[in-house]
Amino acid sequence: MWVVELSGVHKSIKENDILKGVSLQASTSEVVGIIGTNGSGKTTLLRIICGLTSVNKGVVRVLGQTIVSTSALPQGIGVVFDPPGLLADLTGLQNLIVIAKVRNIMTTIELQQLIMKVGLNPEDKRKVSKYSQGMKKRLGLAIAMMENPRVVLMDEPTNGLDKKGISALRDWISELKSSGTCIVIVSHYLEEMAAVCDTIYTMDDGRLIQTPIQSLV
Amino acid sequence: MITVSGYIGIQLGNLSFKTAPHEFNSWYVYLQVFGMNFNSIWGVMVPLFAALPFGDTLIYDLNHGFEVPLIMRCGMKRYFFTKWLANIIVIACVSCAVLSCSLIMALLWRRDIKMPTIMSATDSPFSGVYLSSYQPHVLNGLFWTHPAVYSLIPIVIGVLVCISIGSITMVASLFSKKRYLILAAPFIFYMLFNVAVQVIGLYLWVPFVMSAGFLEFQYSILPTIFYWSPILLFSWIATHFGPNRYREFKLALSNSSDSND
Repeated sequence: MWVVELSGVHKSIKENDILKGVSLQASTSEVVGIIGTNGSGKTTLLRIICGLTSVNKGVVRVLGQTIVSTSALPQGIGVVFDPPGLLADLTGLQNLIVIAKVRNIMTTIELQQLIMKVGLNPEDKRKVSKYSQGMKKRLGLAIAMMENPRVVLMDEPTNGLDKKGISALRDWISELKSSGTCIVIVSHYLEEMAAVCDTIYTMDDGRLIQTPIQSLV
Repeated sequence: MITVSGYIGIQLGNLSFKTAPHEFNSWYVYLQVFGMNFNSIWGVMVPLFAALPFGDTLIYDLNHGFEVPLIMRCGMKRYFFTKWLANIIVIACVSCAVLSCSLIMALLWRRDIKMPTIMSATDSPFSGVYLSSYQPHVLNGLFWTHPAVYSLIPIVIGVLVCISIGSITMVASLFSKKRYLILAAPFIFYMLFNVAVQVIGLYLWVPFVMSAGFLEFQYSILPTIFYWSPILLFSWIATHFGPNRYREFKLALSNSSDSND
């Protein structure tokens, strides 16, 4: 059974076709990468999968549920956007608390543990506006990891991360993979993608084309 | 600020017109502070007061991308409606506090809560305030019999005026990313509305008057409610179209940033 399934997805903006019948399947414990040139529609595809953008035609299913862009996503989907959406006037922990309040299924202690897991200090009283880009990225990863996701969508996850951060991200991806999580990564760092992905697609002229990993190395 | 400037205006008015002392008992002073006779700050600046407390809440989220984790967890329609509701609740609390403080200050300042004896059916002891028998305004009689209870009504009406005008920021947030423009949007709308109504020739129905007309007994409660409620209704309806507008707004944004990588 596919965890993420797109079939015949079309998206156009003002007569400009962004996606032309995109189909994609990803199963549990699979890391799928999507690469492509700038403006090819990679981020749009990610926004469609998580219901933030509507489609003109086609069906998007995640965890067996059809995604409707006005409804809440089914529980178990984590998303890391670039840059991550954070409230600059709050601390890292406060940001997580605000988001966790929506579904009210994580305690403050669990959130503190989560922050420590991504390499940040839960006692840090600095506001997010004082964070470095790498720290913001780590906090974005923590948001995606909330509520034990079974599907994680990542938009340029290595942007702004130092070598230590990238190494920690790789460890985290392999840990998620071994726990059965399906991961979809959108990036233009080919080497990083080749290192972590099981399957890679290239976005070309609004279509997804499967690309052999060996050709990227 | 409104209250203090209102009291200064009333004092100056008192000196200029040598009004009888009973004209300025606590209840009447409280009403006049917000009226246009002695103090035009409320009437002119009410859109800014209404926008400032929480008017930028939606655009703050959108500009920081913070709406994404929230929308994913609660859905777009619920997110936009909650933002609209939170905005009007905050405006209601702030405007209620301002009007209540003004009432307390009027009581402390004048220390005169006795209503004057009505001498005849035609002469009102207050300039601009008519007896209910001659001006059939709903609840006007309450001012004469129970001024303390009546004083709570302007608070409710003032809150309605504030939330109606303040909710315009939610609509503006769907069309602009500029925070200060959004905070100024109710004021711009208010001014354009004033001009439009005057061009049509409905001078008594301009928002300047309608924001404070009730306080000065020019209008009754019902016309005031019917005047301001459609604006609140409009902003509520606009939040239903928020998700559609949001998707195109953010899509254009993500595509432009994607191209600029």
